Order: sequence, then structure tokens, then C-alpha cells
Amino acid sequence: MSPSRRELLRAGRGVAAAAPLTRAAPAAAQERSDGDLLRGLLGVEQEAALVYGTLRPGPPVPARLFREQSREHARGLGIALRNRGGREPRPPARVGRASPAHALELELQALAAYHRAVGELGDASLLPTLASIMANHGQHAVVLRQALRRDPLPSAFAGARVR
Amino acid sequence: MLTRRELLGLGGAAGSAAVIGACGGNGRNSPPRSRQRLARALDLKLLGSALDLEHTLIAAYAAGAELVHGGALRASRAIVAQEREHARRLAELIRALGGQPNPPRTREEYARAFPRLTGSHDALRFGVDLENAAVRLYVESLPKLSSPELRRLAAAIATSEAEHTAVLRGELGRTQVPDAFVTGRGRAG
Repeated sequence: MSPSRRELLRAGRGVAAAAPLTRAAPAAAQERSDGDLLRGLLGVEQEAALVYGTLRPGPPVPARLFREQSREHARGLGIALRNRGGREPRPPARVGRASPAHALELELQALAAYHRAVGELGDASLLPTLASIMANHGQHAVVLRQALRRDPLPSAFAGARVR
Repeated sequence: MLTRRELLGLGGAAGSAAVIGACGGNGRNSPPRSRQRLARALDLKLLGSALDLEHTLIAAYAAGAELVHGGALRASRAIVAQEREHARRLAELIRALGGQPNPPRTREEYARAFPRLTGSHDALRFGVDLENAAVRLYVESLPKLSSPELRRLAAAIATSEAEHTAVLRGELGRTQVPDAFVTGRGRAG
């Protein structure tokens, strides 16, 4: 068992959903294309983890929980990326303290990125995992909108640019 | 509680005629047109199951409407409006693919299948269970859908259903986002 797989197993709750991430895609050309998509999504997760790390923890936004969930996503995506010969992007640098509005903006970017990716990804075995991560970002957005006293459910079709 | 088979078996026949009509080819070795027919038939079957589940959700929120009040009632109304949007879009797609969308069952048929709801907590909890069933259906259907557009739609609706669970769990006073990977099968329910 590789260290990365061990890491994933330690992640516990995400194991079942992340399992397909450990499979390699069949075609080399597809791997490159899927690798680019995964690298982009991993960058989003790294940024989300950073933002939640700078958000004041506690109600109404459970920033530590959201940071840990983004890290779980990043771990799974990192394994999938490495299995396709890709290299993880360098994590962004920490800049100042984030606000719930900033976090919501980032969640909307994440939703749009996953929405695009599920239409472009070549390896269909990854799709349930990407959708399960996208759904988690939708839930983060609900909590952030409620914290900001906005409509928590502004769209029936998540992934479009809706505040 | 309804079983998944019962929930998904409330219809699901939207694409059945097309599935039967497409039989005879065996996927990989069949000519492209036959493969296309098979793919369309599977799309119709999955969209039909999804539409049936959306109808069930709408009926469930209607059944629980008298039991919830205040913020929970407002949330329930907002959610059911979105379920109707999902159902409309799915019915449009089924028609566009040459299928016939199943109509909803009668109120009495749904009532017989639903558990007895005695209060707000029951109604909200039932909503969470059904929303999780919907998340499972959309997430697990994704690799089987034939086009990027259908996959994006399934992911978008799965996310919408997951958002509903976050709102309902909040009304129940529970952790709104218990799992990093939202599959509809989380231990937290």
C-alpha cells in the first residue's frame, strides 16, 4: 500500500467515496486531460482550506470543519492526480484574514469548477466522487449564505453563478 | 421508512419501452446507431427514475406541510419550489429524448407508501431521508449518463438536493454538513 493510499484510508469518512480516485485512467491522452482538470480542482480545494484556516472559527460558520473537509477533498484529488502522473500545485500563500463573504465567493467558484469538470472528465469512474465533493461545497454555501442572512437556496441548479 | 426499491419503484417506466425497443444490440459489438439507441434508452430510464423521485419529494413535502411551522415551513416551501423546477426540467429532457414522462401518482398512493408523520420532527426527518435518496440516485447515475450536459445536470441537481439536506438538518438542530463526500449514504443520515 502506498503512503498516499494509507493517508486516504486514515481520512475515514471519505474512503468509500474516494476509492475510485485510486484507479488510473486507461488512456495516456485522457490522463493528461483529466490530470489538468484534477490539478485545477485541487488548486480550488487548497485555496478553500487556506480561506477557512483564516476565518474566525465557531458559529455561525464551522470554519475548522469546512477546512478539514476541503483538506479531505484535496487528499483524494491529490491521489487521483498522482496516479495519472500529475504533480500537485503548490499551495497558495496565506494572506490576511478571510470573511464569510470571501468564503462564499470561493465556494461559488468551486461549484462552477466542479460543474464544468463533470462535463469534461474522461474517466467516468471519477464522476461520483467529483459530484459528492461538489454537493459538499453546495452545503458549505448554504451555511455561509445563512450566516450572511442571504437566501440559502437561490437556485435549483447549483453550479451557475448565483450569489 | 420507504425502501429504496419502493421509492425508486414508484414509477421509473418512462424509458422502459425505449429500453425494450433498443434490445438486440450488445453494446461494444453493435453498430454505432444501435449503441446510440442503447445509450438513449439508459438515459431515459435514469431520467425517468429521477423524475419519479422528484414527484415523491413534492408529495412528501405536501404531506408534511401541515406539520411544520415558521422557519421550517418557509424552508419547506422554498425546497418544494426547487423540486418542481427539477421535475419540469427532467420532464422536458425525457420528451426531448423521445420518451413520455410519468405523471405523479395520486395523493392516496403516496400516502399509503409514506410513513406516519406525527409532527414537525418526523416531517423534517422524512425530508432528509428522501433528499439523501435523491442524492444517491443522481450521484450514482452520473457515470451511466451519455452526455456532458446530462452529467452536469445530474451533478447540479445532486448538489441542490444536498443543499436541501443542509437546510433541513439546520431546522432539526443538527450539524448541517456532516460529511466531506456527500453520497447520500453518510453515517449521519
